This record gives sequence, structure tokens and C-alpha cells, in this order.
Amino acid sequence: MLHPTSSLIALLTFVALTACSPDPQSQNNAATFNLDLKTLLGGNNPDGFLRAEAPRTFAFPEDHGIHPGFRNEWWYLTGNLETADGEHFGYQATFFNTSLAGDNQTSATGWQSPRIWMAHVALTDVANNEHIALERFSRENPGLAGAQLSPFKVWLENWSLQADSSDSDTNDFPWYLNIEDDAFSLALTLNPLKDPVLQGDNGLSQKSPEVGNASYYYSLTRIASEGEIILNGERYDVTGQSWLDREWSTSALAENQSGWDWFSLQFNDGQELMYYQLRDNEGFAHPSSDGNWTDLNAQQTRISSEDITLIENESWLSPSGISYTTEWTMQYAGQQWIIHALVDDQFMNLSVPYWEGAVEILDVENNEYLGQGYLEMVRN
Amino acid sequence: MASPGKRLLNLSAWRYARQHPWQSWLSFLGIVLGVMMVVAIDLASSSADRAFALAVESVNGSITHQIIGGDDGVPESTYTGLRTELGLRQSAPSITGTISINDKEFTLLGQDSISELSLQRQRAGFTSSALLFNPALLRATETNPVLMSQSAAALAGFAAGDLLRATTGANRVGVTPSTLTIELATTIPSSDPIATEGILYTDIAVAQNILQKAGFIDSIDLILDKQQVETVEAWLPVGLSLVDVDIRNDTLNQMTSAFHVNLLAMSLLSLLVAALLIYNTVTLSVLRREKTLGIFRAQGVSRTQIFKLILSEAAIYGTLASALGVLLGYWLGIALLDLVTAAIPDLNYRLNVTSFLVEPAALLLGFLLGLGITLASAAVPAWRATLAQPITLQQRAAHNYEWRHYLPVLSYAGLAMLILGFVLLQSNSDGLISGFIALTLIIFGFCFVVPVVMSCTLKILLRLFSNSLKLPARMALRNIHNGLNRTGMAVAALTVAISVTIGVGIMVDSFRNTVVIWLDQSFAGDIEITGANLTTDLQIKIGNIPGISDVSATINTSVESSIGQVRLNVSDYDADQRYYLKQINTDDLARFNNGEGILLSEPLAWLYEIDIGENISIYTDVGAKDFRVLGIFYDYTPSQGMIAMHQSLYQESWDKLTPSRLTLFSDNSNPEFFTDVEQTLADYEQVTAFPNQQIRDITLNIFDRTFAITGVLRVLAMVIAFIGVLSALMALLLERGKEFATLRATGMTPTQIVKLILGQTALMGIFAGLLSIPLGLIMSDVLIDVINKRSFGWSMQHFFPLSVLGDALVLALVAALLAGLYPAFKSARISPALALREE
Repeated sequence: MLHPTSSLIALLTFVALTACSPDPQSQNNAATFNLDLKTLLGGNNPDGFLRAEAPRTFAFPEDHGIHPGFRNEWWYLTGNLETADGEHFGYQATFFNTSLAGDNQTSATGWQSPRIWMAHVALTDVANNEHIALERFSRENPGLAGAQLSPFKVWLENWSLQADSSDSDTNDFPWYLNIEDDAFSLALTLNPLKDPVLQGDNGLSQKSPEVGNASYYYSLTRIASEGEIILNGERYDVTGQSWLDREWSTSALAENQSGWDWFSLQFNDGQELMYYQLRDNEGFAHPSSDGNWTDLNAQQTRISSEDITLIENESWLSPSGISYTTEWTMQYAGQQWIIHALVDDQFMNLSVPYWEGAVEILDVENNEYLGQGYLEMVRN
Repeated sequence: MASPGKRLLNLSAWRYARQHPWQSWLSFLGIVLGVMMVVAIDLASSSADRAFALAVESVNGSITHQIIGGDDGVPESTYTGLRTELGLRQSAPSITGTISINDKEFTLLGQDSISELSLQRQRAGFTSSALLFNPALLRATETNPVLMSQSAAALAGFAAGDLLRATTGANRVGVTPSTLTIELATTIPSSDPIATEGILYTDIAVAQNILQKAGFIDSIDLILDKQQVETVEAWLPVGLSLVDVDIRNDTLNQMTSAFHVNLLAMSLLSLLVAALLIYNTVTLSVLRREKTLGIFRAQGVSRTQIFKLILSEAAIYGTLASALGVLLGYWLGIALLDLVTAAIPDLNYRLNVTSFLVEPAALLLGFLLGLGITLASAAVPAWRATLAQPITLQQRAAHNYEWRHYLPVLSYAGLAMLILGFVLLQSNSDGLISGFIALTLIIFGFCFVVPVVMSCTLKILLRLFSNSLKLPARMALRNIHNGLNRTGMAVAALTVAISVTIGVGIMVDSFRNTVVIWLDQSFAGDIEITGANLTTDLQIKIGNIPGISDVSATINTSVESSIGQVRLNVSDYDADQRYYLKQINTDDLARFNNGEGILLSEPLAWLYEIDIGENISIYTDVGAKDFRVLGIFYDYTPSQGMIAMHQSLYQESWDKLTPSRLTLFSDNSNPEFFTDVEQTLADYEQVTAFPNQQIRDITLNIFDRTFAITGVLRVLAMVIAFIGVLSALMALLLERGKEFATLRATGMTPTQIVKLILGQTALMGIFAGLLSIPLGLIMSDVLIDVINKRSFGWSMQHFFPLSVLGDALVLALVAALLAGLYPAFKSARISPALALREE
């Protein structure tokens, strides 16, 4: 989906392209990016970049790797994990890159970097009502960050998502996620339980009506996950299920769009739902909102904005005064669920602030626990 | 009779000055020049020091450590490893270098804006993160975009968007100077115009391109805590070292300030010469007015009034001359700033020296020093003018006689000062200050002894040759002897001034010669190859190039030891072929070559007071081990010190064996062999070759630049000495106008008078020249063995270039003869009748 951090990537591109006439004000606060999302994601200067204009044929494992020529690309992992004692953790680990120019096929040397990378990592400790969010940036060269195949690896400094590094040719699962930081560490072994799901129109995900304002988008909707978390000096052995979103694009949002709500839900019966609701400037759902129902055999049913109803029940107010909905009622195909945030404050207070966190799915009638998932809310 | 009023006294002083403009102007000039030198050196040094401190703050910012490398710098892959393996995030790569645009030099500072985000250092000149993440620094590199602070760009006359032609690579080993176009992409506001002056900021990829440093960076800048320091040290690849920035800067500061103390001492010596000059002038003015003063005394003018009169004259001179000296010193300081800055150890970046920082305290100090020395020098003659009775004041001969009465006292005092000075030198004190006090005592002592040495020599000469010498020659000798109170001082002043040139000349020459020997020894061979990947395969290929007789490998690394982290130099040479040995015996030499012990560089042995035979514990790959110190070798690299070890010993305890340097020896059979070597290396990344001659040339170039300032000071000291001798001799000779008139009246021809006077001054010049040689030698010994040793831990071979001694004699003689010319011709042309009528 259109993850919020993509706006930052676009912002980097924007400032890089407009460097000739910098605004002194923004330079003095250069570490704080306060630009309007719409101008950034509205497809500024797509010249030289490829655009997602028509459906394409996906091939794996090649499409797990990088797609040069597009401005932005990301590997976006979220998941819910539990210890044997039932302690619940949510996590997010994402790698983003943005290209500074469309014609970046030329081989760069030394420190010359065709791309800039960013990673966001978060951990939610449900029992302690705690949420930690981390952010890193890096230029690509010399080997500081990047994505490659054979063996598959996406990394930024010592954070990485990779296939077995001892086998120099493999792109096969399991993949290994390794996040090390002073705040916490996370090491997971990842094994997808279903084939990749192509989102939108066979993987072409239209974000606004203009041709090319779209991305190529596929997901691994259910990934068996096992590993350990080290938090506050304590080690937790965990198992659970993750979700990987892969998306690459050059431009997306239209003038009249701002922000979105994105759901990735994993039901206990083995089915999944993905839905993103784009918001227009008045806060209403935009017609380009889109989703997908995945059954046990990875067969998909597309969900349009007319198929689904979202009701906002409860909300949490961010320090900057923005309201994020922490409990929703979702109505789809005659069913009704409560989507409830496991921790209210799963606010990503980073370069671009947004809310992203672990949720549970409850039956509206009897509060029965039906599954889990992740929710992302971007407000502009 | 009523005593003359104060106004009359002042009037008489004024008329005297009007009637004797030469003396007044010369002593005035002496003070001006002396003060000028002190102020100039003080201002230039403190400006250079502050520029250095500011540059460290502007370029390095608030970091705690740096990883630095060998000759080429740090391989960029080290930074990748630091971030991807260790995950050390408070780190950033840095490249600094000097480029010149329109013949003006600028510092080019290459950084990775994104690494700076996590390093979060504070750099002087930027209060916000404006520099941390500037979009202009992320742009593509074809146009080599750079940015400057608005103030710096304005000062340099550049505007955003300008395309500039920049020359790089001058004075760098292994790099051919080249010119390329860079673009000033934008300018940004800065909080401190001085801190950002002359600095061009750019992306690290651009800096690498402009400065031709492909594959390498100059340093990895870090903010580390204690535990992280250990982690990094354990991880660090061979050939690289982790340095504590504060300690490193302290060392640099110490060296720099030691150098500045040296310079200041030289300028104080000039002021000393000026003091002798003032003493001489005031004494003379008292002598010439003996009659007037005697009459004043007879009329009831009190001693205090006479004393005040003489002193207030000196005070007026002193005030005006010191003020002018301060003003000129300010300008000279600006002129000397470049030279003084050049003496600061090479920093990889250019110091921002265009901003001259004026400290009011330095100006005031210079002024007070000038005035104080003037008054102090005038006090003795003023006091003596008041001592005698009105009648004796009128008897000049009595005055001279009385002066000779003091001679033994003066001589014993001088002797005592000399002894005290030497004792102080022998003491074990490490202090630079005590060294300078000793030197001052020796110089003063020597000055005081000069008259008695002259007196004895003249007596001996007169006794030995009194029959064989012609009358004018005898007269010349006697004249000098009789006027010892003035001739003695004049000769002493000239002696000190010339000895300064001898002492400093010998010191610089010795140093330079020692460095040349050291260079030849340390950079034996014809080509050096450095790089991170000097594999065995490469070594074999190199060895097969025609015309190469030998390939020798050197490992440069840094190790933890009982005396902290030190550089370790490992090679397969025998010690006497690789190092410029200072102290080692034959047995120990054989032991070293057999791998039974280590050598220490001289500064290291000096710093930690380690003697031959002691053990040093070094942490090796197989644990801590004791190594016996077998000898000491000279080392003039600006680092803290170095340990040398034979490869056979190193292999016992360390696993890392990839050399960081290969030295190639040519048998001269293949004239193209450097080209062949370069072609072979073209297949390898991050490896460079350069001829050793280039290293030698560049090192000596840096050396000469460093000591250029001392050359200027020598010339200035000479000018002051020349003025001193001119003033003293002219005073002496003009005063004797009547004697010469009498001689003319009794039949001497003008030519004979000229000969008499010139002979007399030549003799004084010879005295000064000869006396300056021992003093100059003592001074060079003190400078070499005490001052430089205590400042830098460097000792050097003593070289006695005969030319320096010859120059000293010629200089003294020419100065003395020139000084005698005007009085000689004036005396020769004087009408005897007119001169005698005054009597």
C-alpha cells in the first residue's frame, strides 16, 4: 500500500531536485520535514522514471529484488508474535529506497549513490503498553544499504532481511530478519505459508485516476515467523505470523487526496483481508480505495469502496493534536468485525509522523477473538 | 642663583635632541623595531593558534575519536564495515583537502550528509543542522557541486551558480596536480563567518572525485563511549588506528605552541639588542651633556630633577617608539601570519589564516615591554649622572675611569650568570621555560663579559705589538680600549645579534640535514606502493617486473601496549638499512635483525622515559607479551611515536600479515620500470605507487615552508643589530670630533683620519664577529639539545656549516664598516679650526 514513509522518500527526491533554489527556512530545519504530502506524492517530475501504467507479469524470485527505473520501492514487514506464556508483541520492519534520478542504470562508483535508503522499525509490547519506533537513513554506496538477489538480501547498515547468507546463490525461504539496536533486537526466521498475492488489477494498484499514478503491488499475506526479541535486557522466544508488502512506483496521489487508512488482517480461519481507504481533502473515502480478500488457497476477491463500510468508534489524540482511530467497526459481505488497537499509542513519531500498529479482530456480537493484523493511518 | 625652571630643563633636552638627530632617531628606530617584532610574532602566533583551534572545530566538530589510516587514508570499505558489521551509528566519513581557486587556497570538506544525521556533531559556524542535511549535497556529481557559507562566498567574491576552476593535488604524494570545474551550488547562512571562511562543503563522492582519492577517505569521525572504543579497537583492520581527538589535538597544540615560544624567544632577543642600543644612546646623551648637567647641578638642580629629566626624555622616546612599534608590529604580524601558519603541522586542510585576530592584551604587552625596557635601560646612565659631584660631571676622563672601575664587577656578574645558565641547562628539568631562562642568562652573561674580554685582548695586543704597530693603528686600539663603556656595549649588541643568526642558522641547517638523512634512510628504495590489498599474488607480479632487484614489505599497524596505543612498523629489513639509528650497539643490532627485540622512535622513548634494556608489554594476537627495547631510532613524523619490529619477531605473535607498504628497489636496468609498475597495478583496486623521490621532495618542501619564518626573523634581528652598531659607533666617533680635529691640526691628513676611524670600526666588527661564534655555537647547542628536544622530543645531528661562521664575520665587518663611514667622512672633512674653537 501507499505507506506513509514513501512521502519522505518523495520528499528527499523533491529537495534533491529543487536544490538549486532552496528555501532558507527549510534548510535551517532540514532535519524536520514539514512539506505538504500532496505536492510530494502528486507525481513531481516523473521524467526519466518508469511508471506503473499497465498490468505486468510477475516472476519470482526476481520480483523480490529491486526494480531500477522506478522512483520508490519498499519491503514492508508487519507481524504479531507471542511467547509461550502468551505475551503479545507487534512488530514492523520496513526498507525503503528512493532514486535520485530516473536514469540510474549507469554504474556508480565509490560514494556516488543512485539511491537513498530509509528503514523504519517498531516494536509493540502489549503487556507493558509500550511502543518503540526507530528510523535510519543511508545512501546506497559504498555497500551501506541496498537490495540484491542471489543471495536475496535487503539491508540498511546492520539491519537486514535476507535469505541464507551461507548459500551464495539462494533466494529461497526461509528468510531471516535481523534488527539490532540499543533499544531492542529482533531476529526472525520467516517462511511464507501462501503464494504471493497480486493486489489491485493483477498487481497494478491504481491510486488515483491519472494513468501512471499507480504502483506494482504484491503481498505475502501469511508468513510463519519464529525467533527472538531482546528488550530491556530480557530475551523472549516468540512465534507468530507476519505479512510482507512489496510495492514499487513513481507517482501516486492526486491533487484531491490526502492520507489513508490501511488494514492487513489475518483471520484465525486462515483467510486474509487487505483494504486501504484513501481519504479526500474532506476526510471522506476516495473512489480509488481498494482491497482484496484472500481465501485458504490464495484465491482472491477484489474489494472496492462500495463493498465495505468503516465506522470510527474510538480515537487517540497524538501530541500534535491529530486524531487517530483506534477502534473501528468493519462491515464486509454481511459480516461485521471490531478492529481494535492492542495499544492506543502506536504512533510513529519519526520524520513523517503516522500511526502504525498491531490490532485484534473481534466479533461484534460476542467479542470473540477472530484474528489479528496491522493498521496504518496517515493524516495530513 | 635660582635653579633653572623645569621648562628650561625640558628646553635643554629638546635642543639636545634637535642638535643630535642621528642618535635620537637611531635609538628611536631600535625600540620601534624591537617592539614591532615582539608584537608581530605574538599576534601572528596567537592568530595562528586560534585559527588552528577554530579549524579543528569547523572541520572536526564535536567528535571524540577518529579512525585514520596510512599514507592513502582509510579504505572506504572500513566505513561500510563499521556501519554494517558493528552497527556504530555515531560515525561519519570525512575527506578534507586543499584546493586553489584563482590562486587562493580553500579547504574542501567532503561529508556524507546522511551519516551526519546520525553522528549529530556540532561544527563551528552552524548552530542548526543546516549542514547536516543539505539537499545541495545530495545532487549528482557531474558538475562537482559545493556549497559555502554566505559570508565566506561573499568574501571570496563567489555567487551561487558560479562555475569555478579549481586546482587540486599540489604537494600531495602520488597525485598529479590537475584543474577541474566545480559549481558553487548554493550558499547558506552561518552563525560564525570566521569559522566558515575559506571552507567549501561538498558531498563525499564529489570530494573524492575532486581530490583524486578514489576508494579512500581521510578519516572516520566518531562519537564513542569507553566501551565502544574497545569494540572498535578490537575490530579495526590492520594499518588503521583509532585516535582520541582531544589527545591528538593536545599534542599538535603542544608542538605548535612550543614552536611559537621559540619564535617569541627570538623576537625577545631582538628586543634585548634594542635595549643595549637604548642604554648606549642614553649613556651617550648623558656624556655629551656633562657640561650642561654639571652647570645645572652647580646652579642647584637636584639629583632627582636630573634623574627625572633623563628618564622623562627616555619615557617620551619610549612611548612614541613603542606606540609606533605596536602599530608596525600589527602590520608585520599580518604579513608574517602566512609564514607562522605554515609552521603548524600539516593538517590536510588549509588553516583559515585570512582572519587576523587582534588581541588587545598582546598590543598592550608589546607597548609596555618597549617602554619598560627603554626606561630600565635609561635608568642606569640616569642614575650615574646624578651620582657624581657637579665638578666631576665636567670631567669626562674621570667618568671613563670610574666606569673602568666597575668593569670587574660587571665581568664577575657576567661570569656568574654564565655559570648559572649552564647549571640550569644541565638540570634534569623538562621545562621549556627553564631552557629559555638558561639561554637568557647565558646571553646576558656573555654580554657582560664582552667588555673585559675586549679589554684583555686589547691590552695583550698593545703589549705584543706596541713597537711594530704604526701610530694610527695603536691609536685605534687605544681608542677602543678607552671608550670601552660604549664600544663594549656596541660590540656586545652586535655579538648577540650575530650569534642569533649563527645559532638559528646552525639549528635549522642541522635539522634539515638530519631530516635529509632520515628520509634517505626511511625511504630507501625507488618506489613505494601502498594500499589495502597488497596480496601475495600482487607481490609476486611486482617482483617479476624487469628492472626490480628487490621488493620489501612493510606492515604499519597500531597496537595496545603498556604505554598506550602506539604505531608499530614491521619490515623485513635489517635495522641499519631501514631506520636512522640513534643509539644501538652491535650486539643489539644483530639481536634486532634476529627478531629478539624492538626499537623505539626517539620521541616515544623521550615521552615515556624508556631506556634501552627495558621491556615494553604489547598486546599481541596470542596475548600480552614483553618485548625488550634494543635501541632508539630517529623519527620526524608528526605522530606520537613508533615501535619498530623485525618481521620474524612479528610473525611469532600476530596473524595479520598483509603488508601496508611495498618498497621496490631498481637495478637501473629498466628505465620504464615506474610505468611498468603502474601498469601492473592497474588491475588492482585501491593500490597506488609513487616514486620515493616525490616523498623526499614534498617532505623537504614542507620543512622549508615551516622554517621560512625563522629566516625572516634572522633578517629582522640583523637589521636591529645593524642599527645598534651604527648608532653606537657613530655616537662614539662623533663624540671624538674634537680629538680628530686636534689630530688634523697636528698634521694628520683626512685620508689618515678616515683610515683611523674605519680601522677602529673594522676591529670592533671583527671583535663582534669572533665573539659571536662561541655564543652562536652555544646558542645552537641549546636550541638543538634543549629547546627542540624539550619541545618536540626530536634531537638532531649537529652540523657546522663553515659558511654560517664566514657569513657571521663578514656580516659583522660590513655592519661595522658601514657604521663607520659617515663619522669617518664627517671627521675627515671637519675644519680643525672650527672644531677646536668650540673648546
